[in-house]
Amino acid sequence: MNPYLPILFMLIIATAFAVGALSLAMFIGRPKGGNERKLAPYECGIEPVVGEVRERFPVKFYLVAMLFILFDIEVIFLYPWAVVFRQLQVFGLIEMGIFLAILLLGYMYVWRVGALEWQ
Amino acid sequence: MDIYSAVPFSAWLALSGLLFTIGAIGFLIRRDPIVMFMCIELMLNAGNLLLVASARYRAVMDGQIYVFFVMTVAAAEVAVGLAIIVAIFRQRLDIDVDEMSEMRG
Amino acid sequence: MSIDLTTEFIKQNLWVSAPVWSLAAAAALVLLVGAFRPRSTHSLLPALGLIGVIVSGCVTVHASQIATAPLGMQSIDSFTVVFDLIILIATAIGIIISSPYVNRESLARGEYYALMMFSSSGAMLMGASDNFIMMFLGLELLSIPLYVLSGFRRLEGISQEAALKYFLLGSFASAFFVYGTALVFAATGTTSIAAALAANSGAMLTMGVGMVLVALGFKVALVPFHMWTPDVYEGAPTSVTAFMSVVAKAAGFGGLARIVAPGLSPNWHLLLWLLAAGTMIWGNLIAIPQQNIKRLLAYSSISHAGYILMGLLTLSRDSVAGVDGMSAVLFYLLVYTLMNFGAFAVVIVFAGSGDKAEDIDDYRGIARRSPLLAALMSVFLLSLAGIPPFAGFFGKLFLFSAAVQAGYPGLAVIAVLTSVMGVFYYLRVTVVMFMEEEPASGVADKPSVSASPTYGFVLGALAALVIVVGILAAPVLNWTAGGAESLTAGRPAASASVRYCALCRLQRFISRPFAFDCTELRNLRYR
Repeated sequence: MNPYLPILFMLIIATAFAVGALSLAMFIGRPKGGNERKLAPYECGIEPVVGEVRERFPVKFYLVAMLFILFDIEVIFLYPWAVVFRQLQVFGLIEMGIFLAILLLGYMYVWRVGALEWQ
Repeated sequence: MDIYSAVPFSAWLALSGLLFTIGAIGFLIRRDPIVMFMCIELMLNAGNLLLVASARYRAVMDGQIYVFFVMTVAAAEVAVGLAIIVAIFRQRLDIDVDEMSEMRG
Repeated sequence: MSIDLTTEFIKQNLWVSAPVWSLAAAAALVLLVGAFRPRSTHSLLPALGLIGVIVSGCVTVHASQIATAPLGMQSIDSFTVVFDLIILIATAIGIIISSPYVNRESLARGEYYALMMFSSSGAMLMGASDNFIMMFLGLELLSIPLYVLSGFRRLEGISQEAALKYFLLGSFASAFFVYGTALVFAATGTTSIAAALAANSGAMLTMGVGMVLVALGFKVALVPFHMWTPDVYEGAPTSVTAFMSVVAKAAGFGGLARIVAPGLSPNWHLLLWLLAAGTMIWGNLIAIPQQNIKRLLAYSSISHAGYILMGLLTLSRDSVAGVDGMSAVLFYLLVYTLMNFGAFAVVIVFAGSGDKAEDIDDYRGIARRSPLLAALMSVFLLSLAGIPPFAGFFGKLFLFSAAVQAGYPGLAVIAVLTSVMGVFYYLRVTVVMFMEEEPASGVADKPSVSASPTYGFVLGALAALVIVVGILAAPVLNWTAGGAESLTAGRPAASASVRYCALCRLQRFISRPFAFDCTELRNLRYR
């Protein structure tokens, strides 16, 4: 069997799903007229935002996102450790403890300088 | 027959070389620092791809380990780079490297 | 699968990496203290940083006596020790010089010192690495804090511009490093530097090594990879510029030495030759018309990179030439640290609050107002120019004679000629300070520039060191020769018909008035 066959299947299924979902929506979900409520942008149960839609994000979002990326990516070092956890025994546990402690130091620093506060 | 024997190593090499070239050319011709930075990420990932592929073909794990470090370091670089760009953005509300030319000589 | 985890193994690992982690731990401590006691930034943190640097130096020396077995990732041989100590000296001077400066410019934050120390630990890792992975980590640990530091004057346009330029071009170079090492790994199947370079060469290996050299050439600002240097040096806070011009350069050369030492294929030597020649010529040529003192020093630092690369080239020859050359390189790095920090410290003092007076025109006739400072500046500039009896002269002398010795007479001639060009622009500043009249407007209301006690002490000490190291060049060179020895261990030995050791003769000549015995050094050379 050709190793690329699954990829072909995936392509076919993905295309079929996209086309199918869109055409189904066209047939059964065709909007019949509409009122003001219906045309307003949907905002998950809160009052819709008035004005320009492409609003700038507060810069604070970026700070949180950056911190998330940093702490998130460090976790990849846990994966190889988890694989050879048994062979590494106590040594591995201690090493990983040190690694996490260093991360924790970084977290303490971030906390202390107020990077986690929204205001 | 698995995918590794179906795809020759040269294909991975060519793909990574292509990605690296696209990144390098993009870096040189684009003037938006964020896009330039994305080009750098592309170049780094081209390196990652080559490392992972050759680690698999040579059955030496060093390449995989290297990739882990490259990924984490790249994340640190992203953080610093975006911080610099945001600091400039707060000051000037516009970023274009061609306008960053107070210093000449 | 079994993993050998004896206590001995773990202990060796810890000691081999001790120089790096001890300094990084000190940096982390400084960072946390700075965060938890924000008011302590003015005096406590620099003191803490200095203590950390000293402790790290002791740890380095101690570790070198315990850890001997090369573990494949990094090694703590005699080169590492000498190199690390030079980096630590530079870090200590950097911290001392920074502390009044950052207080004056209200940049005092705990992060400043911590970043500086992290950067130094990266530099130490680069000089100690036996493996491309380690070198990559060292390179990034060195560079990322420097990106932040060069943008530390957050609210000023040129500082931001410097940070962005340095960051973009630095990451571009890092990407070259990663892809280059990936190519080397693809070609040879190993990330160990020595093993990879010993493999039979092929197009892929050649390309990979070439890209790695480009990345390191960027770090040390070799022409044509130097474009970022003047802008970054001008825009960054002056204390950061001083630190960066010394530590980043030393780190890059440490990395280059680790790559050249195991035996780079001879085809590269021509390229390195051309890079060294181009860097010396172009750096000195463009320095001449500069009007800003920081840009002048930036181009001067580029030209010095050319001289040092010339010394590094000697590693390509046999072990005697290699020891000659590398001991000269380490000597030069030490001397360069002292004189460059000195020159930048004077720039900080003269520039005054807000870094206003940084043009060479601002130095006009300044000797009348503050003769001592002008004299100190002249000492550093003359040393940079390579005029005896200052240490810079002996640094250049050792490098040049090592290059001749190793069979690069052409390069040495270029170096001498470009040094003469260098004398011109260094002397120009001195002439402006001493011979020219101050502009008539506002002479009266300008107070004499006086250095704070810290700067008075640092400048005095640095100037004294520049002179003392010049006088005692022989023992210092002996020390650096010990460091060079471990690098050349793998090189072919000199032929039996012993080549004449020019350096040693020079040394004897220099040390005659001090009755210094250099037999030990000679034995080392002809072992």
